[in-house]
Amino acid sequence: MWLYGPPAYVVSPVSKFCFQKNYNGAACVPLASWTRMAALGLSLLLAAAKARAEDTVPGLSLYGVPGHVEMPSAEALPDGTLAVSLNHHAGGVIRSNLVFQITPRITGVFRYSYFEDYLSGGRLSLYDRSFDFRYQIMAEDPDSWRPSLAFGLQDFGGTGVFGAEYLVASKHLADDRLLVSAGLGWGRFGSYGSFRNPLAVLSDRFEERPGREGMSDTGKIKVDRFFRGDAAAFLALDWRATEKLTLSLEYSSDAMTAEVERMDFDHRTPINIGLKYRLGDTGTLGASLLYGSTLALSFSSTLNPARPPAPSGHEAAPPAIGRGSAAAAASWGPQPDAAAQDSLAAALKAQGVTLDGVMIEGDTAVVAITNTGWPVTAQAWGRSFRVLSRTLPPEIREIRLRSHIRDLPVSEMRLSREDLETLEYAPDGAWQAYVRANPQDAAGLPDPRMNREDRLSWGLSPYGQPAFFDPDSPLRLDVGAQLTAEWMPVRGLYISGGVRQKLAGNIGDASRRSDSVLPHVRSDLYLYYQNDDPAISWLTAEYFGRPGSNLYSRATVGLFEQMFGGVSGELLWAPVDRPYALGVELNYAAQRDVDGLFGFQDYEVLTGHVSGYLEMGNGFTGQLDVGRYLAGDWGGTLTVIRRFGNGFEVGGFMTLTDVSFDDFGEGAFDKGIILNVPLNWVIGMPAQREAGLVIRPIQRDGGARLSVRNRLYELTRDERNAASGARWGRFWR
Amino acid sequence: MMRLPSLLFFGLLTLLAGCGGQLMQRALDRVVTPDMETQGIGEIEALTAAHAPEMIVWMLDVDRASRLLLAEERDGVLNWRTLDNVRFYTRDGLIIGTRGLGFDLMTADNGNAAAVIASGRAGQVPRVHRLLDGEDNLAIRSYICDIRPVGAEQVQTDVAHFVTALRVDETCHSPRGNIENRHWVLNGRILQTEQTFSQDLGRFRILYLP
Repeated sequence: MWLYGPPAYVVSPVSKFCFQKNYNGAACVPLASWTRMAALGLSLLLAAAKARAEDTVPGLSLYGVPGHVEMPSAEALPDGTLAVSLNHHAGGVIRSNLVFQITPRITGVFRYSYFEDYLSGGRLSLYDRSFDFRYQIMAEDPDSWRPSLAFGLQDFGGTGVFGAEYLVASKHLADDRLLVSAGLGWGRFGSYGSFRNPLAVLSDRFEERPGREGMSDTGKIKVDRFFRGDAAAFLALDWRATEKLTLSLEYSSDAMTAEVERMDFDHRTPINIGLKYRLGDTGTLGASLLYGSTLALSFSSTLNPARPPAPSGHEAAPPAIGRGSAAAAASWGPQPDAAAQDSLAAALKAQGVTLDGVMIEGDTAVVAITNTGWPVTAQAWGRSFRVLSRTLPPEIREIRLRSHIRDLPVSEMRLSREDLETLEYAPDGAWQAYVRANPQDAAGLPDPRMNREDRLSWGLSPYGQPAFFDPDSPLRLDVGAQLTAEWMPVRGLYISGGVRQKLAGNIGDASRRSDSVLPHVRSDLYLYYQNDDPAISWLTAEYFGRPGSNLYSRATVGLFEQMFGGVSGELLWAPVDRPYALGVELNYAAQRDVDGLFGFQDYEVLTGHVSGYLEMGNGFTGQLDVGRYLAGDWGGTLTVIRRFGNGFEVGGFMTLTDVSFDDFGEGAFDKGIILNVPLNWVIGMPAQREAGLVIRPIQRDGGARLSVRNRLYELTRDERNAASGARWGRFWR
Repeated sequence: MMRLPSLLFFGLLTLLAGCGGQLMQRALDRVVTPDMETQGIGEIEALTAAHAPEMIVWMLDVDRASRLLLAEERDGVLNWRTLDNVRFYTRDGLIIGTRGLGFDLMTADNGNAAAVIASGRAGQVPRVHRLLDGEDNLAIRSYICDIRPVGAEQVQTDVAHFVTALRVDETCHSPRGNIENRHWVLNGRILQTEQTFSQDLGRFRILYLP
């Protein structure tokens, strides 16, 4: 009998062997590099849509948090979820929200909003930055009456335009089709139908909510306002009409007081209605009628950093483990001839690995490599072992692989031919390979590397430099061309630089002069963008070394960054088998001239930090830097980052120094959000680059740190982590 | 009236979910990608000239197919490749690994499933699949598989050639969901097989060409 009818293929002469739709024999060629680059741009935009969503993601309110229309619910996003939402209200309000589910119960929000004609009697618009914190006190039990319960602090550190606190309970009913939320609100959410604060039974202090002091409040966390003043109740329902369509109805406790007073907002009713329509797995389009008078349109998109679009990547398969090249045996004496080394170097290069040297000791080959192509160190090591098993003669029974980064010997692994042949297809081959390879610190081991030839590399590329949050123009952008070069005259020494030529842009058009009472170590940054001539982004000589076991060192001299140059030294102690590390960095820095050339201004400073690093588990890393900052202020920076196993990072930092909040100026202290996205996460192809984005509500001069390339902890982290077993799931990939 | 830069800004922030901003800039910068897709084109030519064994693989749920050549063989594992160097590893007709598909099967421990299938008798065997989970950990999927012969069916092996083979069904049970495999056995060997190891990729059908 026929199984599925005649198969739609033609067996006879088909010479193409790649996967193709309908298998029609049409030309099927590997992607050319330009094609891949073109696809890359599109992939970036589609990454969120492609990312797999396996968990049910709650709907988001217009404030970007799990909720209904304006009112929040007590739900939490799936752990690690990153969500972005944008909504536009017909009355001239735009809110964009960046939300991160930091832990299963803690949610963090950064919001940037626009209020048209809000200030100075309607003559000026307001751009407002705000942060929220939410905590889910109790998760819902779907098998009992128990609802989820959460509290939130909305706009707790900004100017308080959205300032509110709430306590809310939510429960799914009717076979999960109905979500009901009821809560109490304070501040903005306690302004309609309000009553005496029930917390006043605890203390009279809860009866009064201190007023705002305007711009001087910016950045300060006003704890004495939390849950103070009158309260009000809100109620909200979501009805999941179909798999894609959800309808919302709510009674809002927000009187929209500021909007009514400043923007002639018409608050006709406390009832809001809305609908949300899911687009694919990750997007949602919404429309709402707010307070009986205003239409709002919204869009949101979520992604889970733990779930990239292609978990195992689309890169080509690795070469199979081989039994050695008998033909080349004669070339592999104790000192392999040049042809043999060239052949090995070419085979490794084709797998994204650079050969630094090889030494034969009896039946053992010691091979020094640098991973130049792979975002996952263990994968580079796996590919190297595969190539070596095929290229080295069969008489070589054991391979010791010495891994380097920036000429720093980091780790050495050893595997025998028998190991490789046994484990290549073994069900638990990755784990067994790690155990048998037993990575060791490579500091102080005999060096198999060849004398390095001078290496010079360069590149010319376009650049785009954005600048965010200028109150006069929230997005400024310079575009131009950038020439970069790197020269390695001797082992360990790297001389590199970059020159930018701006072609167009408006960052330098910023008209707000710095009013900082501190040395203008950052607040004059815009002056450096007023230059239309070529400017040196950086020009440094770096020397890296391993002074001892678990120790790494760096010395840098030159122009570190756009604003500062000088001399920098760093020492890092980072044992592979410990979750902590310690570093010290000392810099003597001088402020560069704004023309971006070799001149310096009169300002010089001795700056440096002692840094402690701690891997706290579940991907969380804490870093505490204590020392002296660029403006001469003393203090510390606390950074907490959640780093997913695939390298995707989301985190935040805050710096407190001996500069008072008043002297610091707007924002009170330095703080921000960190987002690092590995390029291979997006495109599913090997790439060592990542996109780093630091969102600072405002950059002032207090707590400003020197920007030096190749700080040691980050530089060596992937190699050290691989030596302790991280990401060995890709060893055989 | 809102100005264009403002609109651009808010739009850009929304695209952060798609990693906009500097990612776009850096994406246009140099991408360090080993050029591995084209490696071994010479190998394909040599294998073709040597009339290496071939198989056809269909991705049944996405309507794609490819013809693969046997590139390597060691210790009973056959290593098949496409032109763009996607690889399938098979042992006794069953898939034990793939490389280059995005949701690869890293390893499979099929127990004695192949022997039971080839025998044409009913049986129950364990299977363990390992796949990368998105954070470069190996996620283990364990199954208990019921194997039962169904009956003789015809399998098309060429435009005009058919053979009669024994169809053997394999239902693999797991708390995370079941998978259904089918195999067609001829002369004690698997001639054609349909297997699933990833819900994202769906079903694969493999025909080992005579």
